[in-house]
Amino acid sequence: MHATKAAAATASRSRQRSPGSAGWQYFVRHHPFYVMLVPGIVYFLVMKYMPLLGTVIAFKDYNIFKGILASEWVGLQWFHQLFTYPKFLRLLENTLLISLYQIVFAFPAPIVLALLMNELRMMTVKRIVQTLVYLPHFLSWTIVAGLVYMLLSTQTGLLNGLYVSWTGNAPIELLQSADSIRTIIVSSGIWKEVGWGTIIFLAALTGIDPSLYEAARIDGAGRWRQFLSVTLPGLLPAIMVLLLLKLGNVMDLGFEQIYPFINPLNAEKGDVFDTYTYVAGIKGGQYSFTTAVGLFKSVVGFLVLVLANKASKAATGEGLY
Amino acid sequence: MNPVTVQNLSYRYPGQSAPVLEKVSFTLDEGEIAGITGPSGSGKSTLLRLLAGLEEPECGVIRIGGQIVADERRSVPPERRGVGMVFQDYALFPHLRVADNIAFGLHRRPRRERRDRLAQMLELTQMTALAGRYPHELSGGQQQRVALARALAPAPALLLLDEPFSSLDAELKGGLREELGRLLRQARITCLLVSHDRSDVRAICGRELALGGSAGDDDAAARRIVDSVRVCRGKAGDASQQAGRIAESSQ
Repeated sequence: MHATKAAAATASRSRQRSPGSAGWQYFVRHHPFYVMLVPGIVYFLVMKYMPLLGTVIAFKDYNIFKGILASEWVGLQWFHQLFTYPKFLRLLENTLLISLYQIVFAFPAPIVLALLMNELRMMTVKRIVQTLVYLPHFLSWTIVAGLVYMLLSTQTGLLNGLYVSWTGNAPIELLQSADSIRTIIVSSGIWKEVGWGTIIFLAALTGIDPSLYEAARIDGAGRWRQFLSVTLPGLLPAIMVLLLLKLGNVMDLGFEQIYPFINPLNAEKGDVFDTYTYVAGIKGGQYSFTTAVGLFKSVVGFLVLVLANKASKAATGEGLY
Repeated sequence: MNPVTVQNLSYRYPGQSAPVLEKVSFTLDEGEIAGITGPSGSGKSTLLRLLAGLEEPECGVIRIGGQIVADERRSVPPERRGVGMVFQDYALFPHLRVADNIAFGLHRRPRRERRDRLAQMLELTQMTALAGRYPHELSGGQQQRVALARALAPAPALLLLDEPFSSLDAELKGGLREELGRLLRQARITCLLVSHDRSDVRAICGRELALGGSAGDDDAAARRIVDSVRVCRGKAGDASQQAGRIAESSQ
């Protein structure tokens, strides 16, 4: 009798929570997958989300001895200081201009190189070229800057030496000139990363259905028309995703890339938020102020990404989300 | 003169010792719809690719429209062979609308001729109402019709169809077989169809060319060629009575 009642009660309870229990049963059935998810979630929580809490020091007068919680709350003081900082507009202009040059010149470079490499028919040549263009990626920016100095230095630079011996003119002060620093930064970046950047586009190219090329050939399309009708549309999704990610990082140029090239003579056009953050934050100990700079960069990047994604979806139907 | 003549055609894939096709010979008559059958690896699709110019034969001669398009010395490029091809997965350009897909091969024609031919093809395949759609917005059968219209648009001398029903489920297949047969007869074009399913060939074609053996077979005789010619009870009418000439075994 008791057993019957208990069974009826259990059945009644299970009927009551049937919608939830279906989800629970699904979870139990597939629990190995959820267990496998745990390390990834932990990684993102510890390495990505928890540090976000530290951005609160952008609103505090952070004192390393008092700690984050005990430091005095100052509201938007650091943001006010940033926007009224005399060099703020210069930093913003340099950051956005170098970013723009990178998007205009450095972003398409691996696409063009991948397309050229895709046309190579001798596999041995293709592999050798691939290996050679990948190599600079493994050099640190300090070494790349050293190589640039060895080429362009007015005293010991190879190119300047050749220029002087051939023309008899005085050496060109490229590294000391504010006018040429952006070009040097962007072009050395292209040299270093163009090969590595081709990997994703070469992978996208191999994903294009070969019968599309064959259909185009039968219909009389030459190489250029095949490129326009098959290759480019096939690459477009990869191009759009990478361009959107690049736009999201519009304010992040990479401290390591720029800092080795900056000197007092060219800082006027080469100093960006990343180098300024290092000088003011790490060297000057203004942690709260530089955190505010970092937060400002992130918010701008986020807004640009959201707007670019919307524009991309409206124009091409492709987007990140 | 036969619009399509193939003589002693042989082909082997690079790096392979056994030929996938060996001394294949057959002819097709004007307006004839013939079907190639055979087991996997017997070289059915390879034969179509050789006819289309997408592969070059090891030896043998291919004549299309009375002109030699491939022999030991020359290989006319695909666009100058007067061949249209419907690929196994249709190979429609995903970013182009139906109308642009069909008109793709007409880019060298005057604008007016292009427009008229496009309208003609849309009407033939009953795709006029869907001309503005993209391939991913079409059903399998509709995609097949677009692929057919695209292949027919430049008015080729020979139409090649590579496994036209392989991407379709069995339910769709029956109706589409009838429809494709009707369209091909309506277009009055010499046509060679490849299918691993003999019932496809029997439903559409007037003649069946059976390729025997596979490249992996040890017995060389087994991978030799078209080994039989059958007269089908197809719907191509007179063409089905033209049996005998097709394949001559090289043995």
